[in-house]
Amino acid sequence: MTTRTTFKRSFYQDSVALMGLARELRTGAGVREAAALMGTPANLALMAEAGLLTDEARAAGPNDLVIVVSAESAGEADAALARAESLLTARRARVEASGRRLPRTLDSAARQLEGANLALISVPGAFAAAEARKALRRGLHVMLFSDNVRLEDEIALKRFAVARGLLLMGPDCGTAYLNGVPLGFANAVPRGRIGLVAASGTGLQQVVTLLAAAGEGVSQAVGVGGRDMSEPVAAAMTLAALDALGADPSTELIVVVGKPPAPAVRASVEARLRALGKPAVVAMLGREIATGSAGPLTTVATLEDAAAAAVARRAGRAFQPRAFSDVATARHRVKEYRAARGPGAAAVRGLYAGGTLAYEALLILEPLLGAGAVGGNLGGHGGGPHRVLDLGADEFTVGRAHPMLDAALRVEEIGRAAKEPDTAVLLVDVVLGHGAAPDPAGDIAPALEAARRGRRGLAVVASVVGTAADPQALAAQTARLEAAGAWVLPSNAQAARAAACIAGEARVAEALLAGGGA
Amino acid sequence: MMAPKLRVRALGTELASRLEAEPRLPRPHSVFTRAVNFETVDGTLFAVHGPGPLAAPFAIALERWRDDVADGGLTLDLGRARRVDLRVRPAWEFAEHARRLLRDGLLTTRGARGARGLDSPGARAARAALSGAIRRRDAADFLDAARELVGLGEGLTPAGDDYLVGTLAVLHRLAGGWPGAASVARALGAHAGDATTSVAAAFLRHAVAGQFSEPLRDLAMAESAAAARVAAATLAGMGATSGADTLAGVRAALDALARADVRA
Repeated sequence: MTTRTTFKRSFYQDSVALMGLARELRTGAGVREAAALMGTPANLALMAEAGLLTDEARAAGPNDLVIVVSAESAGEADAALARAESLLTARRARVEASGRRLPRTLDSAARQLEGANLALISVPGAFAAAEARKALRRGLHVMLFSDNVRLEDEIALKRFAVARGLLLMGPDCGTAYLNGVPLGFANAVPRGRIGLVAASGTGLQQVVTLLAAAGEGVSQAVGVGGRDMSEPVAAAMTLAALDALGADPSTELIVVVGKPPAPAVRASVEARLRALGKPAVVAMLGREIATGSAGPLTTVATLEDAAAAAVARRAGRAFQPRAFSDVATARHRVKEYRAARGPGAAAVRGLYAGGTLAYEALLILEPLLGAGAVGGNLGGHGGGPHRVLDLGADEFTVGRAHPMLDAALRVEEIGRAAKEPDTAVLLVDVVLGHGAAPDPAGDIAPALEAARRGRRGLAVVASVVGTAADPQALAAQTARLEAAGAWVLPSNAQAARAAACIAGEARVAEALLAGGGA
Repeated sequence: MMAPKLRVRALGTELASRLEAEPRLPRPHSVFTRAVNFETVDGTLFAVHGPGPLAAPFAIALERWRDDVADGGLTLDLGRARRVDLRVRPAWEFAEHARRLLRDGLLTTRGARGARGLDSPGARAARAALSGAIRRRDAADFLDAARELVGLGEGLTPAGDDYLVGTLAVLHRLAGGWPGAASVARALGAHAGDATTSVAAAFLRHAVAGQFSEPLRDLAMAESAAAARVAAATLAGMGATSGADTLAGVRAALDALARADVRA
């Protein structure tokens, strides 16, 4: 008589499955008894009573599945255990085939993918820091998708990561590209020589897609989280990422994207960029940005300019910001829209899915439409008549999906804005890429068509953040918007300017559309 | 960034107040065909299943089951969720009436088959000891016997644990919570953490605090014989053998109380 045991760590099956397994094993040749039980002390005692408890089984814990077989010979016991293994494997294969099997812990994930060096963490904010710390302790870089992580936890985690030479991207980091692998909400862009550090997800997406359109690619793009360049965090991860890009031979030029940092932080970031010796473009969206070039650094005011300056620098050309890439068409379209504007219709309604894109539009519209003239939910200086809404902000997404995934809210807002008699322009963004909705343009196009049908002279101005290689395909999405009557511009910055030209005073259009072609 | 939403049909009031603050699903703990248990980083479990009665005091019933529940990144939409009070409260002066209703409820489920684990010699002895302790109102013996049952038997929630949960529901309803939530919690709750599976320990911890699955709550709190029968029949169909094992605990506790001098 031989008793053999096997146990599986943290392995769960329901009681019917386990009873079925034990029953099946008992039918094996030479098998006298078999049991398949969770390794609780009571069950181990039960096995002991039945003479089935082996030394191996004693090591099992309450969440481990213990299979024990008593048979006439060692060969028959081993054969029964092999049979148990194949029965469990077949069951697991069925579950896997249904796409349901997932690692439940970092440890089991690490076992599934030997050599993994990065963990993407998306757990509720209250627990994210603990998971991130666990991953860092294992020597993994971390992309922390979770938001609502406490500031003090972020600071501590980043210090911990920096001390170990690891990246802690986030919290609330939605986009990154590492060694050609897009992570989170990311567009399909080619690999190339430009490395990016970004405190903004859709801001990063806008820059890399415009780089792709200009034939440039991404070496690495590191998200650092929106608070990284604040005074308390002191750009801990931005500086670490810059060091990494500085040492990365595939990175020839660096672009930094974010909101304006605290002055001392800006100084340390710029000092680090200068020390790296690689050409760099800095796009910190904000009011009163002093643009221009000094040494290796070029400072720009918009996301589009960040891409254009990087492309110019790589080509050895001087960078000249421009309001429109096709001034002639812009002049023609603006003239038409202004002529068609209804009486009293002179307001821009920006309805955005991308937070940074909304903020960029606000920054562009404010000086063009007048101080205090642009309101919304982004800390605009004014209460109207113009309005820019970030529909992905918390106050809109409570109880519903983000507008990049579910257009229902934007469709409602488009309908509402179209009914307001002073609306002259609906300004919208469409963000493509992995993780975005399968047909974001198609989701809002019917609402845009309806808005235009209901309001003679209403202009719809749009931009699409995407590439030809994105799952939704840039050309198809652009065509869908154009079919709905939208004027689709190549960047969010140009779309915002176009909106200002249509809705603003005549001098705005005259200033922006002066020169640059017939 | 908000993740896709899972519309919740019902959940317990206590769980609702916790999830309102953080509705995103944590990592899966165990995955079954039509249910997924999730474990938060602090070790708290909750279960997500399709429409139907709440199968655990820590369960969430969805409007519609989705096969990608375990895939991560999903957020619960509690907007229209029914909040269910899953506590079993003492019947006090109506204990005799409540006992009759419970008995009526069990009439239809006598044949429900439980797990083999409860028939082992050790389990039979522990069950007898538990019943004896209830009859004598001997808290120390009750806890000793209960510890013997914790973690005993097949399944993700071993049969002994299911049995204890059924027993505790009856004691909460008819014995004023005897032998006292605090002492049971200390002795049994702490023990369960090491002695049984994580899911069964979660059931026990809730049971000690007077919180149960919806069918068991409905059975214990039934206001008519018909309601008790419906609840018992629903409970009998829960899990692989869990419902039947729980009913065995309910029945045993009722029998023990019937032979005791109980002044609830």
